[in-house]
Amino acid sequence: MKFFKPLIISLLGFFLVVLPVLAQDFPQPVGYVNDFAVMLSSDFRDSLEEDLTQFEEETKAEIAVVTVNSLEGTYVEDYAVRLFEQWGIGKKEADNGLLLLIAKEDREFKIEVGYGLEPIITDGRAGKILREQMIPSFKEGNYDQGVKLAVEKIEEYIRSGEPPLAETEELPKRAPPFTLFFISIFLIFIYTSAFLARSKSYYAGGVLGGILGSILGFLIGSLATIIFTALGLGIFGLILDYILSKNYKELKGKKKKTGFFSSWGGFSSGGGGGGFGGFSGGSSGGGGASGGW
Amino acid sequence: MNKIIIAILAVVAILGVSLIGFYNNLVTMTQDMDNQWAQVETQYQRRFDLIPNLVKSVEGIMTQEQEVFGQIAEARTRYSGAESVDEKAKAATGLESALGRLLVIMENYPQLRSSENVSQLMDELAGTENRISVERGRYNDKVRVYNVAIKKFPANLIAGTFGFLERSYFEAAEGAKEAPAVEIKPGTSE
Repeated sequence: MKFFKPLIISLLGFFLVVLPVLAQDFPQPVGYVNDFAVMLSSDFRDSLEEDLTQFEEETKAEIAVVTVNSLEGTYVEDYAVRLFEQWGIGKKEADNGLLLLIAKEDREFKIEVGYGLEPIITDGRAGKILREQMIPSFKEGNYDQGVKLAVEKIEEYIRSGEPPLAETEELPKRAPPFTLFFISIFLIFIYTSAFLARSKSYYAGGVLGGILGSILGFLIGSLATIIFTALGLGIFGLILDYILSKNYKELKGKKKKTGFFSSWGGFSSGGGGGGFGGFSGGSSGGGGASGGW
Repeated sequence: MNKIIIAILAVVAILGVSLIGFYNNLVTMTQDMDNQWAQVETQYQRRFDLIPNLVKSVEGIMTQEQEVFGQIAEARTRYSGAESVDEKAKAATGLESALGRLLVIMENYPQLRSSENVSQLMDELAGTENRISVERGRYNDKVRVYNVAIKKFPANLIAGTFGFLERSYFEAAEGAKEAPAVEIKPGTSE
């Protein structure tokens, strides 16, 4: 551990230097409704949040309503697509997110549609929603009403359309076989480790490594590689088994849990609580419509 | 003596592994760029398909503007005949400027704005133009990362031998940094 400390610190330092340069200065989402410019009444905000949460449970589509004071010098289409990208609105595999962005001082808005919803909320429909639902109310200064009508219309379209989760075919495949391959290797590794830890012997891992190594070497090619991989994996297995068996004994001695996973040293994973758990990594490509009031 | 051999082997192994990593990384980047370019072309195709509808719905009213319709038709033909990426990009730019001209002229026909059909088409067109600029920007971002990767030392010494050459950025048409302002003043479509 002593050896790793400087390494970790220097790595952390690297990220600390690099990250602020990459990060955009968008605020973090606080829910489906992000009324940063305080344009909506608090009653309406709460009921809209509830409505959008329910809508997500029902259809899996994520609708974000965002108001900002200013576009900070850029145009509304650009702001919307970057905000969408950073927050990742919509489910990652389905890209079924939608962003209704309202810029208070610029008096502009934009409906940014995730890739997966493009066939349902076409640009024409998005433009129509802005013209017919948003603009009349916004001109009167009744923002609650405008947003309410627009969201209702969007929800109506999504409900009546095809279930967006089924439309993932046009997305480029991102090499799942490789991921699967590595995950299965990893799982096999974990289970073998757990098994080796439980076996009394200190050398079984070495034998196993040797055998695996010779198979691997045989698959790859020549006699030299067989010897090389067999030796390499053999030694690796031996060391691993030694550490694992020791670890297991210690745990057993202390009467700690010795389940498969804890033999390896312990894994942890956090579960989400209730309420808004963040958006889910969906992406968009500039579809939708924009306008002003 | 033994130690030296082991040290050499270790160095060779590390070099080999990092070379593989370097190569695979560039392959991934190339695929990413091609994929992103395909996204751009999808949007070009969308615009291409949209234009006849738009032209049909405004032609009847804009009878004196045959010249711009001719230009659009010509640019469209050139695009469908284009084969290579460069040709396509060029033809698309031509189409863009012809379309921009049409949109400017349309401003002079207020009666067009009151048609729901025309406003929907304009929404579609505006959305498509915006998508094009988004996807094109992302393409350029990818090209930039890739170009930096192959130009850095020591990658610049070997990238060429593996066939990884510098890629050119996509330049938007002059004055078309943003999508052409498609603006049918909203609220007038009763």
